[in-house]
Amino acid sequence: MIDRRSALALGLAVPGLAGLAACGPNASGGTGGGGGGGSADSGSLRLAWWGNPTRNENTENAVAAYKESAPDVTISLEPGEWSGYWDKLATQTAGGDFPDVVQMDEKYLAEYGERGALLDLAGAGLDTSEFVEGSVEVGELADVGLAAINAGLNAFAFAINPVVFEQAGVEIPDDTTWTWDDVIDTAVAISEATPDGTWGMTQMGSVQGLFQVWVRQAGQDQYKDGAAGFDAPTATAWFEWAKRIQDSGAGPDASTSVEDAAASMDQSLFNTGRIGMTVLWSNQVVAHDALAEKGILVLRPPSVAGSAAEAQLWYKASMYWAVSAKSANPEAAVAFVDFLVNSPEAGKVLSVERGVPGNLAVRESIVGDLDESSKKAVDFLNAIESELGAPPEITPQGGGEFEAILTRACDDMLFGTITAEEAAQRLLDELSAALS
Amino acid sequence: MSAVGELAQIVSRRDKRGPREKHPDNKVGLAFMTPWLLGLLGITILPMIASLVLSFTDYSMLAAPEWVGLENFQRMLGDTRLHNSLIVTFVYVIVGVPLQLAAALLLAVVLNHGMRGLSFYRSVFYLPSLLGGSVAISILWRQMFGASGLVNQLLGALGFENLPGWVSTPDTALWTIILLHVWTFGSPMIIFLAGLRQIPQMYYEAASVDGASKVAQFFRITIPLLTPIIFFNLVLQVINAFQTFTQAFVVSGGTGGPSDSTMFYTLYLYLKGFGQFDMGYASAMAWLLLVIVAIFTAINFFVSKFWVHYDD
Repeated sequence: MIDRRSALALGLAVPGLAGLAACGPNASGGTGGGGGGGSADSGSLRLAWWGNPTRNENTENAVAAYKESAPDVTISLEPGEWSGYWDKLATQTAGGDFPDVVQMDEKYLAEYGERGALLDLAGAGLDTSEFVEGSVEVGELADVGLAAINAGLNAFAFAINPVVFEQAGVEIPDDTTWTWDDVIDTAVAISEATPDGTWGMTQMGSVQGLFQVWVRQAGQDQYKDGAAGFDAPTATAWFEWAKRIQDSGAGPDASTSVEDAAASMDQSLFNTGRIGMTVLWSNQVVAHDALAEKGILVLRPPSVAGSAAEAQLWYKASMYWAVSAKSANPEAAVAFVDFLVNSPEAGKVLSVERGVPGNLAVRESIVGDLDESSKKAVDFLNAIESELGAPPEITPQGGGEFEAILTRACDDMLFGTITAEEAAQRLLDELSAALS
Repeated sequence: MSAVGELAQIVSRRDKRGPREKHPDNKVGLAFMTPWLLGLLGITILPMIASLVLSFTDYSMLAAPEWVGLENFQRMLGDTRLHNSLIVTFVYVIVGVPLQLAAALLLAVVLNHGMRGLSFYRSVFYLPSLLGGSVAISILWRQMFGASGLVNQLLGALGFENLPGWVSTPDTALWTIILLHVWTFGSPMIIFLAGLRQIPQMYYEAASVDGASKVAQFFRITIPLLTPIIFFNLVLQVINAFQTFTQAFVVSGGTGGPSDSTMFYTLYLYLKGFGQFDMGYASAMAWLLLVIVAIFTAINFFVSKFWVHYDD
C-alpha cells in the first residue's frame, strides 16, 4: 500500500541517490574522453591555455579551422588568465583531470615534465624537422624526451606609451645606448611633467624577466647547473635600483604597484595611459598594441655599458604546447598540436601573438601578411638577433616559485620592512630552498 | 528553557535508560538517512582518512605518495611562513569574530524593538551573510578598497588626501578582510533575534518598576539570559573563521596579499598543496588546523562554565 509515508520516503531517497551518483567529479569528463579510442581523427579533446582577448579569439579561430580538416574531433576550450592558470592546472592534476592539450610555460616545464605528466611528443611522432635551430631543444627534458613543443619565440622588451611621452614633452630615448640610470631619469622627467597619478615607469623590481636581464649583464644568469646562478651583491644592486624607482618618483608607490601587478591587461596603468614605460615579452606587444590608445613602441632593455651589443638578451620559447601523458586520446592530441605548430593555416590565424613561429616554413608564409602590431614584435626579434647572449638554462624543478619569491622580497623591501641587502639574501635563500 | 539546555537534558536522560531498548522506528529512520550517510562516508570520512595518511607522505600529485613519517610535521616547526599565517589567522579570528558578534547583537537589539518594515530590515541585514563568502563579493570588496576604489573616492570627496590602497598595503590589507567578515553579521543576528524573543517580557517590566534604566536592563537582564546564544554563536563563528579561504584568496589575488599580510592558514595550505605540489605537507597542515580548532572549541567550552547561564 502506497501510503503518504512511504511515498515521501521514495520521493526523498530517489533524488538523493541520483544526486549522489552525479556527484562524482569525473562522471561526465571521464567517459567522454575514454570513448574516443585511439584514432587521430575522432574523439574529443580539451584544450587549456592562458591568454588575453586577442589570443582567445585567435585560438578559437584556429580550433574552428582545425575542425574543417578533422570534423570528427571535438575540442572543448578552456581559456584562462595567467594568474589563476597554474593553480587551476595543479588542481586539475590532483583531480586526475589534466586537459589533453595544455599551453605550457618554461617555468613549469620541469615541474610537470619530470613528474611524468607530459607526453614525449617526439616519441609520439610529432614532426619538428622544419623548426629553426635551437627552438626545439628548449622543450626537451632528460628523462622525458620532447616534453613540450615551442609555440613561439620571444624576447624581453621595453614598451613605450607614446601618448604619455607626448603629454610630458619628453623625448623617446635611444634604446641602443641607454643605461639603467637613463631609464630612471627619463621616468622621473615624465612623472614630474604630468599630473598626479601618472608616472614614468612601472615598478619593475618584481619582474622576473628583467631581473634575468640584469643578472646576465652582470656576467651571471638566473640558474646554473640546477641551482641559483646569481649572487647576493648582484641581487642587492637590483633591489637598490628598484627602490630608486619608488623613491625618486619615477614609478608609483608600493601599494599602487601591487594593485597594478594584479590588474588585468586592459585595466593596467600602462594601457590606461597613466604610465610611460613598462616591460613585457615581445609577443605581448600584439595585445598591448591593441589596448593602448595609440599603440606602443618596442624598445630594447637598457644595458649597464650603454651599448645594445652588451644587453645579453636571449630568445625564449614564449610558451609551449604540451600533451598530457594520461590523455585518453593521445593521437588526436598530437595531431592537433601538429596542426597548431606546423600548418601554415594555423600560423596565419595564430600569427605572432604567442611569439614568432619556430617552424621556418610557417614563419615565411605569414611574415608577408602581418599587421602593424605583429610586425613590431617580429621586427624587434630580428633587430636583436645579432646582439644575443648565450641561451639560458631551463628552469629546474622547484624554480616555478621564483616569481612569487621575487615579488614577496621586492614588496617587503618597497614597503620598508626589509633592506635591499636583506631582500637579496632572502631571494637567494628561498630560491635555494625551493630548488632543493 | 534554552535549546542547548534542553539538548543537554535529553542526552543525560537517555543514558539512564536500559541499554537494549529497541526503537521500532529505527529502520525507517536509517533508510531515510542512507543517502546522507553515503555522502558522509564518501565525501567526508574517507577523504579525511586519506588526508591523514597523506600527511605522513610526500605526495606531489603527479607521482605516487612516498612514506616519510613525521617529516612534514617537523618541517612545520621551522616554517616561518606557516607561523606567520597562523598569526594572521589568529588576528582575524580574535579580532573579527567578537566584532562581528557585537555588530550582530547590537542590530538584533535594535530590531527587537519592533518597527514598521521589520521583516524588510531583517532580510536586508541578513543578505550580506548569504553573499559574503562568495567570490563576487570578494572581487567587489577588492575593487572598492583599491587605491582608486569607491571607498577612496568617497574619502577623497570628503577631503582626505594621500589615501593608501587599502588592499595593497600590508598594514591595512588584513583589516579589509576583517571588515568583510564583520559585514556578514546577518546569520548570528537572526539567532540573537530569536534568543531575544525568548526572554520573558516580565523581567523587563519588573526591572522598570524597580527603576532600572534601559542600559542597566540590557546588561543585567538581556546579556545574562542571552549567554547560551552568545556561546553558541561564538563557537560556531570561531570554527568558521578559522576556515576562511575565499575572501582571503580573492582579495589578495591568490597571493596572500602584499608581503604575506593576508596569507591565511587555509590560503597557505592551498598554495603549498596546489602551487608547490607539496600535497603531503598541505595534508599535515590540514590536520594541524583541525587540532587548533578543536583546542579553541575545547577552551570555549571550558571557559563557558564561568560566564554562560543556563536557566534550568
